[in-house]
Amino acid sequence: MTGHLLQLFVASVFISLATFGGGSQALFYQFGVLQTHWITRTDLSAVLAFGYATPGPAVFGTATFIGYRAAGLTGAAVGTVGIFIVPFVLSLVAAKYLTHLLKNPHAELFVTGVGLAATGLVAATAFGVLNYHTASAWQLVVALAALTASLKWKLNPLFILLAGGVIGLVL
Amino acid sequence: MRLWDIARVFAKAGASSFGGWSTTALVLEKELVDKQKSLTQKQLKGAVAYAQILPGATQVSIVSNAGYRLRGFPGALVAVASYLLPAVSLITIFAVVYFHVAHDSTRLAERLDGLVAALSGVILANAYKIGSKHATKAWLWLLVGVAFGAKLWLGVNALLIIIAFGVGGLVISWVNAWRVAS
Repeated sequence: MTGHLLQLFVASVFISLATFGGGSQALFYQFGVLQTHWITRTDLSAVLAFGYATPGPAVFGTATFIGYRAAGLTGAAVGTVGIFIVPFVLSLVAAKYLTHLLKNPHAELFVTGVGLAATGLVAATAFGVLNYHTASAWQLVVALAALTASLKWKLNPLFILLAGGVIGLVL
Repeated sequence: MRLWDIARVFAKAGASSFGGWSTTALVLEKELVDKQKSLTQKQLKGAVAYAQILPGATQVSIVSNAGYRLRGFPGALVAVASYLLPAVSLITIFAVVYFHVAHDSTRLAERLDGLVAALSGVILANAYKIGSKHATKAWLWLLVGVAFGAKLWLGVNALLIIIAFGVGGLVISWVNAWRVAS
């Protein structure tokens, strides 16, 4: 149990550190589904969908949820603290110093590199959540429709997910 | 500002912040700058500017920084705790219900087939939105493809890919600077 808690805390801190404006979904998929098998793809989909329906940063939902699965309420608390401790401490202690550091011209390409990696990883997560080899034709149509609805019509993700859920129940 | 008032304002911001950090900043501006005048517009803008650059959830950076400006360390702690309370309580209740009731149903995975498919599309759209911020030139999308392939087909650890790309960016930047200097 203590081993789980420590692993969870360290992973949450790393995920928080590695997410400059996105990409946490990919890292949670790596950690919770592929590495520890604490949750399944379906579990991750359910919590991400719920995250869109609740206020607050979505990254917390996933950390709390995986933590709960790993070690009950204590795990939920540890996952949550692991995610918030990085921005909390940095914004109090080092905001000024870090801002100077990150405005350094070299840091700009560092952040771009991390952003490009995050983009590829998030895209790979999309293909991991829905296994395109085993998915049925209607699932592929729903995925494509969701992509279009999100990019072209800028529909709220919650409505897209609800629509997908209802279609799944009817078919 | 009393700690109780800080808790009230930030819990309100936490309960109404759907769709990213901008809603949080708007609620804080309305409550702390316009109504209570306990923060200046400039202070709040400073908190938002820092948060954009720091790693981790942007909202938490904004809230901690604003709380700190209001009442030092206790202010920051109370601000973050009360801001997160609504979301974390909801998700914990969801986790309890999901794992104890819904998860035992053997047909759950089948029933969520449509949701999983739609989510896949939404995540792909998110990837494009994140990418558009960073891939300022067309060829940079090739690098996105490298990260994508390394993860999906070669199964390389996600954190390792992030570190490699970050360090790669630093090296290119240093080499460029060295070339210009010499």
